[in-house]
Amino acid sequence: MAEVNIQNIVKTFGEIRAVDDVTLTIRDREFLVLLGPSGCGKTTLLRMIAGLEEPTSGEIFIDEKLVNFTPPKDRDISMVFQNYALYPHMDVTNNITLGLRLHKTPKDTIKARLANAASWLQLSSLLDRTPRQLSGGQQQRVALGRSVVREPKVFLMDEPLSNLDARLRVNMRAELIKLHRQLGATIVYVTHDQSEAMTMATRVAIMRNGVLQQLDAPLKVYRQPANKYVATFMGNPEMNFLEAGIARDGEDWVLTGSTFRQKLPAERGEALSKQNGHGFWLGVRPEAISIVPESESDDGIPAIIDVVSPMGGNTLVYAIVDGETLVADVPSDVEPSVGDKVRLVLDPTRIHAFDRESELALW
Amino acid sequence: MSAVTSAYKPDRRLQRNNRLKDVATYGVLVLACVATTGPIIFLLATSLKETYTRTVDLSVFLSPSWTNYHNVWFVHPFRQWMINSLIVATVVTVLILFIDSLAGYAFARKRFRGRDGLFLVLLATLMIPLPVTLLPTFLLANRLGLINTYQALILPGLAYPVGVFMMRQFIQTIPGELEDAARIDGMSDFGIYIRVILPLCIPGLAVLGLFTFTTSWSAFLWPLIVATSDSTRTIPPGLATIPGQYNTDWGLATAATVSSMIPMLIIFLIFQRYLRQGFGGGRTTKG
Repeated sequence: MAEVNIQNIVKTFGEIRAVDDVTLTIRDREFLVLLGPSGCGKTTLLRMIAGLEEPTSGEIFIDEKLVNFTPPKDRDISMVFQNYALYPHMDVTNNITLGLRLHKTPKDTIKARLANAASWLQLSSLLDRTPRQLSGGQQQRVALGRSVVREPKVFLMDEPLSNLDARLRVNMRAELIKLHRQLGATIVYVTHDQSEAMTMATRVAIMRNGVLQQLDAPLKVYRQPANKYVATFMGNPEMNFLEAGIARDGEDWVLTGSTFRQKLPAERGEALSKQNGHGFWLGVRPEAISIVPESESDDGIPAIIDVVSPMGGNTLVYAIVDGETLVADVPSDVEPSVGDKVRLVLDPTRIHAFDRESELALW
Repeated sequence: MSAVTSAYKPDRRLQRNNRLKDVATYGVLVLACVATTGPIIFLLATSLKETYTRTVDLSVFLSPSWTNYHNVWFVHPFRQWMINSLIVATVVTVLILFIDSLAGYAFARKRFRGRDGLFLVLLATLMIPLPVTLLPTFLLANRLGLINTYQALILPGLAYPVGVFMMRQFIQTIPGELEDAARIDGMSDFGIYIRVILPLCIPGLAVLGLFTFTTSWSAFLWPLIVATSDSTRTIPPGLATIPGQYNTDWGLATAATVSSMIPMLIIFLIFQRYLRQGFGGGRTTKG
């Protein structure tokens, strides 16, 4: 397996900078997820690693070897595509083994690898079928099989689960985690689904408009987002934001909004007060909000319950604060009613602050 | 439920309208059938009569005479024309399928400078009528010493922009990811064309092949000019030699015409499955 080193990669299509000066290292045996919305440049970056797009500038190294001018077939990579890209006129066996045959792999090896992959992916009874005789999930497994039998240094995957139904997608996530563990493979995985990134990645690289925003372990990205964009992208429901300023209340530091005052831990208050002030975005995850009846507390943010969505194990409560909607993720035994006047109490250790202009995290 | 059922009464006016519509539809279809099959029946009936009469006498099908067919195949040089036509149409079709699909692949998939401009120029050549190019092409063929050779019949027919256009449109419907996958699997550009693009283009190739074969088979003007003897003459200019100066042996002419239709009929029967797919537009399983 191998390390992929990307240095100052730029890709332009006419006036558009699809990938803008990205530098990142994908470590050996790492499951790296490139995460971002459509058009953020993540697939273009993956295609450049594969050799299907030529970088406008910058360098790509696989196993310390510069591969900018190496054709895809000689990069020792394999790729799983969003639409699987199985050859419609070939049966499963040929789809899986064509790459090996083209690389002049000995017949015995091909046979052994096909048998292994087919048994692992439960394709043994489907080897004579053509793609149109397979379900979406089966086609997906064939695409994985084609990738696995190559035993490449790097697996590239371009939203491979996005065409599957929800249940199958969750099952396949587990299969991919197992694949990663069994093969000890370096995997670069592109998705716009933050839950896939959260569940599978060793590290997540979040991209926006071709620029890398943050590269970290998923939980770290979730807990310590580098900026407001990352904070918004990671987490479902999204992080809540309120405009806030900072003020002193006796010994304490408080974040102040038009309708609320939120006490801050001393060191965070100190840190914020040193920022030259054009104000902050106060960010808080839904699960860091608890709901108390208005009569029971003077703390927290006064709000009116707008929508209650029981999810089974938990309940999502949408509350109106000063014209804005905030979401709280509370235990299912909390059962507020629509129209109730409540207070939203924020966990002071789990709140985030972002600069209003640069939108960078302030701690 | 029963209330709903009992409340339902068939709308007689609607039923009557539907019946009238059916009668009109079938009436038009019958007319179309008569219009298309009538001349063919007349042709067959005339070819099976020993002596020509102007009336259509269907009883001839009960006691046909094969004399005209015998004369066409064994007395006249029709067999040679048929061989020439088969050679020319087959070679032209095979070469056009190869050239046009390769050009269509390049126009559909390759990124190169001036691609769209070049394609427009190619399409613009469709606007030039055949008679305009007839004389220069003849002079060129003459200078190359190709008159009365198969090459003269084949080479000009290979420039077929409609085929390039058709193949480009067809290849554009094939998902680009297949090509990416093939490239990663280790195929060269030509390998992708042969192993991935061509097999997925079979319906499109069948339609193009039929068009090309038909066009080449029924070409008249150019073969009339360059095929000056029976050794290279194809069927259409050959048929034109049957009518004499003072009288025409219609039995012979119709028997030759019917015989000339046989290869087209066979081709259509063999490839009709692909033709139906091809006319329906290019579709492949995505993934």
